[in-house]
Amino acid sequence: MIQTSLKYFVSMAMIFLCLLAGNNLQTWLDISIPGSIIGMLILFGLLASGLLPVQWVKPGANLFIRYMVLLFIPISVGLMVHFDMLINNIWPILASAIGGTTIVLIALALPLDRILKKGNK
Amino acid sequence: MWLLVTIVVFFIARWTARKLNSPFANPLLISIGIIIPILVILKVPYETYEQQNQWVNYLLQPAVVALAYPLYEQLPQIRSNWRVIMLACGIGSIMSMLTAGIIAALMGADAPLIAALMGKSVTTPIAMEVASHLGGEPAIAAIMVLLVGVFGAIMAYPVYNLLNITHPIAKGLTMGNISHALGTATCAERDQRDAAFSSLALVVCGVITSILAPSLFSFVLWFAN
Repeated sequence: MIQTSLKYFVSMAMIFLCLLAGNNLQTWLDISIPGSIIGMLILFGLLASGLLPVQWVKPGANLFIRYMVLLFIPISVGLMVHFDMLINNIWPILASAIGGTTIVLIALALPLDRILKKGNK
Repeated sequence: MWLLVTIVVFFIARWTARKLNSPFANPLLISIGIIIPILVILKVPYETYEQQNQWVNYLLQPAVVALAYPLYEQLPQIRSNWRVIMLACGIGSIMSMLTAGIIAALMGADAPLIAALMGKSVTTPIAMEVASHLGGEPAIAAIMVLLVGVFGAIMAYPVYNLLNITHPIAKGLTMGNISHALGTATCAERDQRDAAFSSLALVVCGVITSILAPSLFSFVLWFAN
């Protein structure tokens, strides 16, 4: 019991430390990459280099990933304030989201598939 | 009190989505479909609801950091295929942002809306960060992410069949590029190899998108004028 909660505590601390480092680095370097992304890259670097054992991160990271959708709900409910704007812009939104996605789907998958199959021969 | 509502609705929505098992039955969509009518009927302003749910918003940032773990789990795949992964995700991310931004701009969307559309192809927490960085509304970004996610999850495999696209790396990387986690879930039902590359692409594209979004956003605005 104590060991399990300690594992959660340590892994959460690791994630928050990386976030803190990422946010500070962003302010310090004055770049437009979000601090959370920099934090993620720091954590990935620590894991990939073996400096940080994966067991120290796994419990907390899994918790975040399992309940991630919950975290989007409050901001997404903010949609209720923007309904008019969405309705007024329904055509640009649909054209951009669906048209753009279709273009990328075809323009990326097709050459990729042909190149990879050629390489296998 | 509204925090409790959020949590309870989340569990109901997740349970319902699992029961229905369709790409349209998305837990986020069901959750906001329950909460917004409740707030409207009880005449509760969004600000009240948001204030009581503030700590949930604070957790979005560490959630992005936690994505390092699934990325680390794909390390063997990254090591042996890093060239094609970086190439596909780089080109894919740039194409996604440019097509979305330029189409929206040509059809008369204003800058905040274009900002919300730029990150539509990446996973929700990153898309929200990108949108608010560019001066867009994170709530709208989340809905755009959902829209393309559902669209890609439904359309990708029929298109693959039509064009005879069969290589798992091509199928997976493209799916992760266009439809992030929702697409990855669809891949997981078809083929585990597709899903591995899809989950990889969703994180790599998220990073590339967040890095390139500000410059491509300026380019789109310049192009539109």
